[in-house]
Amino acid sequence: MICLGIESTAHTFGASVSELTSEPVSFRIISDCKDVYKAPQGAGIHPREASRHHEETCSGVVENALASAKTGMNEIDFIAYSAGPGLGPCLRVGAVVARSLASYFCKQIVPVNHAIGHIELGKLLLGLDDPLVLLISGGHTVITARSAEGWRIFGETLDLTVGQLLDQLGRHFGMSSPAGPKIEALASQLNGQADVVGMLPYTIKGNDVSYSGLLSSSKDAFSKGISQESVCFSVQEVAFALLTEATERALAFTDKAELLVTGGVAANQRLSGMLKDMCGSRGVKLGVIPRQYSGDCGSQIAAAGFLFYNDGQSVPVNKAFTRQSWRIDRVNLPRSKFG
Amino acid sequence: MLEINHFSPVEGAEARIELIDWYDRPAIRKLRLSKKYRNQILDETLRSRRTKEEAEILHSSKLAQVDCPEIFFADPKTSELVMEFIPGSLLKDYLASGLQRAKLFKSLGKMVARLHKKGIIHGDLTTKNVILSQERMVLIDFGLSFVSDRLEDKAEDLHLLKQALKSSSPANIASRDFENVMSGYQKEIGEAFTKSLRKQISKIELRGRYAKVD
Repeated sequence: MICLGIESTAHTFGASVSELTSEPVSFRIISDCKDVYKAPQGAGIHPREASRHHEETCSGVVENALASAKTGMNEIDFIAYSAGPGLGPCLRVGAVVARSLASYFCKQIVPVNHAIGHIELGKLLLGLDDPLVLLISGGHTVITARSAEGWRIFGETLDLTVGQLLDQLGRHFGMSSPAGPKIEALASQLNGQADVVGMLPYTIKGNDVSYSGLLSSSKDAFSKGISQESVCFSVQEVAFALLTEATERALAFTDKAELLVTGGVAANQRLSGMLKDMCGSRGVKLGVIPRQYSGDCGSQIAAAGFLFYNDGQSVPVNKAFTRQSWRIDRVNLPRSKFG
Repeated sequence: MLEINHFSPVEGAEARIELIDWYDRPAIRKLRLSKKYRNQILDETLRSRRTKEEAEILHSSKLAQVDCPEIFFADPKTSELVMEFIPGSLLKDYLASGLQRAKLFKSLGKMVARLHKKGIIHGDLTTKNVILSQERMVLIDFGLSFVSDRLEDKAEDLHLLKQALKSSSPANIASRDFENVMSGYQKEIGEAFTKSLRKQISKIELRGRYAKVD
């Protein structure tokens, strides 16, 4: 079965041709193409500008995905698109592309929750069966696991996501988003300068974390003359220790034997190092999404697309809507062994 | 002979908890473990601060007429606490019997209200942190507790409990349980405050990522 997955929730317009075969079950990404909107330095994603970028690049990206998979629309069994959550104008571009292709080529169409895309892709690529999931990106900071009813949230951010924390600090320093990799690079150049870890608030409430105070204190530290390297190092230490602590608490609560880390921030080496230490001490199997697929991509939409397509959740073209607000715990999942 | 059906030594997320003999009394020893993943200074500061605060808050909770374990010994330097052992069963396990469900949640609400009246935020309210011991209902694990009189912090305390209930029971049961908590809470603290607290809880819920306004 071959799926064309289309991603357009935020800065990335992506398309992927992926294949799922049964007996034995095997998932293969045949192609994965994308074009990422770059915000101006010191600014965040402007939804209108990002959607304009998607409009301009979408046809090229889809053509590339088909061409590099050496296939055409005729070979595609169905189309999956990211229906939410995300930025409205951006989501609508992906939905329009999916609807147009579906109606012109008479294909079935499946709306996919973007967060579930991150998770399903991680499970397929890393061979995980029933993991606790730490999903960390610009749009999400959530600790979740499967239950009979669906994905249940065991912890999440009470305000900013960890991706927003890094992006907004980066913007304060005049970087462009996503700022995570630049902050990671600066943090590793600390070279004996004093850190300010002790000056920053460490806010954990149950399994939930809060980052708004950490962001303002970091900005304050910078304006008091602390170096960027030192601020970046300290923010990473605090923000990631919080995530690791909350995840460890959720692991203790759920007794899961596997942890999946996915989403854009999963690419950060300091964070995955902390999680590796923690999982090692608990005997938990850790799976971190490969860097190439940590950010938004068409493959994640295809990966989740198979799940919903096989469950009969394709929709008529005139019902292929977008949902800006679509929490992961509100998604109807196929009944499964968890049910 | 004590009936010990909720206890087994645990290597929790934060601490190692063991049953020890404390001058001929059974006692709980809670040792906050150093986390290798955490920056060393941060790790030491957090562990010693949490140990000290936990001991102080357990003491204040008694003064708020909330039943909780008695502290026998506390040492922030080694992050060690020794406290009273409470035999009995966890509320979480007891609920499976279905008995007195509404009454239990009302009592829990009353306990939380008494803490909040004195400005104590428990910080980790779940059905795993309540022990039923004969006639006693005992609140345990004040490891994330802090002192605050802000409406926001009190609302968040209950919001966490609501989430914990939702992550361990189907939605309709969880919401009935939470309503019972709130009714016990209101009886203790009054209608006016409870009303503003409920408003604040909804605000917190809407702040959640991608929360739907409905």
